[in-house]
Amino acid sequence: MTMLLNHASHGDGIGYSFAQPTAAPVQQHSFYPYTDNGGSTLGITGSDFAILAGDTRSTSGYNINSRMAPKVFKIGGDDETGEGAQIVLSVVGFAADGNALKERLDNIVKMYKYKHGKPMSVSACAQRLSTILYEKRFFPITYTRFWEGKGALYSYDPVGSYEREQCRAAGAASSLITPFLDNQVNFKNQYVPGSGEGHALEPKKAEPLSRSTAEGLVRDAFTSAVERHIEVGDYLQLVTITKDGIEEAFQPLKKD
Amino acid sequence: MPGFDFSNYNRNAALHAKGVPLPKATSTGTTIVGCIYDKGVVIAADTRATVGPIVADKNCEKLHYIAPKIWCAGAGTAADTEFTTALISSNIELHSLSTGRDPRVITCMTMLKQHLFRYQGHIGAYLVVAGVDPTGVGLYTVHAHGSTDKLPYVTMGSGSLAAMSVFESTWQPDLDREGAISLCAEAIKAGIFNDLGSGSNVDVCVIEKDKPTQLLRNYEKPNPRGEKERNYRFPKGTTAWLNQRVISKEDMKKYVTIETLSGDGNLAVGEQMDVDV
Amino acid sequence: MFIARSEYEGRLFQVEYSLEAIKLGSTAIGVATSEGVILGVEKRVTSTLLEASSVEKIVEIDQHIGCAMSGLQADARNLVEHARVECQNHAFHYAEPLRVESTTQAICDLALRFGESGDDEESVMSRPFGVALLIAGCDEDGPQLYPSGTFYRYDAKAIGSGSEGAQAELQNEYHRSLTLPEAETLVLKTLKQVMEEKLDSKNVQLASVTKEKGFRIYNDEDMGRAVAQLGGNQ
Repeated sequence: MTMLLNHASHGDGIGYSFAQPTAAPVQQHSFYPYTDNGGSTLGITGSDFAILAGDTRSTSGYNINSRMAPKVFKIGGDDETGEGAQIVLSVVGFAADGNALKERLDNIVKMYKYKHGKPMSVSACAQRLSTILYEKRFFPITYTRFWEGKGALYSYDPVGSYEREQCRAAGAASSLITPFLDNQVNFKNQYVPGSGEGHALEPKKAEPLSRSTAEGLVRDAFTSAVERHIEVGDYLQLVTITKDGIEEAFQPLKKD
Repeated sequence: MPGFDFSNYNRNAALHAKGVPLPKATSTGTTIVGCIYDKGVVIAADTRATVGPIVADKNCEKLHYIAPKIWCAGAGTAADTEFTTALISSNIELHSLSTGRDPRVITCMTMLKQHLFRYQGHIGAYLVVAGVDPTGVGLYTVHAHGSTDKLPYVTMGSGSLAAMSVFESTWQPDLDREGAISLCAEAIKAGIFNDLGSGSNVDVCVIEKDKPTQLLRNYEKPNPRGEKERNYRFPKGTTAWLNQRVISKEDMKKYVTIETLSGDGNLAVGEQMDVDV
Repeated sequence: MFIARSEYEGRLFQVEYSLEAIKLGSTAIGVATSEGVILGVEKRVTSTLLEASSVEKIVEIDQHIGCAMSGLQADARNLVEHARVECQNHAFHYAEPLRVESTTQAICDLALRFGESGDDEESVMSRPFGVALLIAGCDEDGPQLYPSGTFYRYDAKAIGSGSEGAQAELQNEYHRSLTLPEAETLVLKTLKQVMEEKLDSKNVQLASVTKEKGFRIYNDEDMGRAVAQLGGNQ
């Protein structure tokens, strides 16, 4: 599935493009209601678990709004603490839209349980989130987001195109973390030493990760992203979903 | 006289009108400060260089030499601060040679402001100039458009507000050397932690009459890189190749001199090269 | 909302009239087994000039749900259309079929939307629906049968003019280990007992809802086979 919009398209393009038309001669007034609050998120799934992690820094421009603004939310819990939830949502981009989206989806998942007498399945929630996003096709909610639950990870673009995936990085440092994931999760560009010569060389086969390996990769991805991206930092929020429920942990990251 | 080359001006103006974005320069979103004390002056800077939101250099030097007793901290476009200070440093040296006197801070400041004013702000150098000369201690700020200030404590760059908050709350008129150094370091740290354009370490330069100037490179390192949890060393043969050619040491000796260094041969090259931080 | 005036002893005449209308309707029967649900209706071919195949009293709501009706058929159209929309809407939003119980709930919600509207309310219907439905479906809880109006799940249920006699028959004959063909025969046998006309493959209609095939209405060939089976059993 093609992602219709992505984070990079909002940034400054690198290099020259000669295809762009001459700027309009008339000055146009425009209203741009979105702010990018920075931060990055990362999701990895294994055979019997799923991890969603994000940093807790909220920024605007060169300023830090908050060092502790978690962006991984539990959806469909029994109370304010999110106890009893089986689904986790994370949103990066414009935090106000992210919070509104979280509230809305949480509401819908709860109403579903009352109405149909069963908890919403992950695939049903995935489709519902897609329709929520597409409703705002011409006023998209925010940048990239994704969510997951019970060993499944789905990622979305701002207008509802979605896909189930093994792993995904989103947000400010996604372009830094994605190639790391390609190499360390899917073993891209890695070959089995001595398995052949030239084109006969066998690519290293990807296998489902253990939970400790995946958590190690997530922590290393974030401590490294903090080194090279100014909008990532402060604390790492690491949420792990297993059949036994949701575990949440925070650990400090660099604060510069 | 050698100077700026304007031959691409018309071409770039035409391209820009067609919507081509201008190439982006490395901008040192920065915190730089300066503070005088009873016998001298201290300037300090953070060590982060950025391109947009990406950290280009984790431990760059923003304190520039102008003369033995005049130093300059630079914010703004990295290339502009480096070339402008180097140019003025040369001219100061020549001026000192022809007059036979030690250069003065005010002279340096005047040369900088005249140079920057001529270019109407297109040279994006924002500087803190500090030094000691026969007239006493000097501390100035110079903006890219050519305006200057003379103050007992100054801050510049994107972290200037964070740094100034430290000066405004804790600065005292009768500071000694150690007090000035730690005050400047605190101000830089305020920038490092509260301004996203600033980060990593604190560099300090202390200039005092009748004492050698001290450049305290990485005076404080409040942001050490955390230990990596996993090992990212690849087994030999992991990378694919289509053909190989072995060049022996003997062959190379025909063209260059080879010296063998001792060291841990098992270390991956990437690990050895990771010298910054 | 102020619902239909209560005339005396707290009884709602409008509702009672609608229940009367349903009592005049043709008989419809549903039998749920572990393999699936069988729906059966009498068609009441009142004239030799009436084309029997055009009498449509069992309809599909979704791939996994069907319903049989008794009473005012025009009213049934409204309810069925509503149920179809609800099912499609759910599938669109959640990429899964709507549960049978939720479908019944959706129909019941519409069935109760009558009475006098308040100032701010959207206009509501002036009278209750004069139709009863038997909703049959299969979902993750297995095959299920619900009559509309009362929201209780039944193993076997009859509605319409012959419902009293038919329900008594079902009460005697139903057991939990019925197979689908046995349920077919039970439905036809019960219909036969309460119908005024002589039962044949033209004046009754059967349909089944199973896990594997979903809702399936019996064609002429299936009907012929089922009716022949009934004859063979007796």
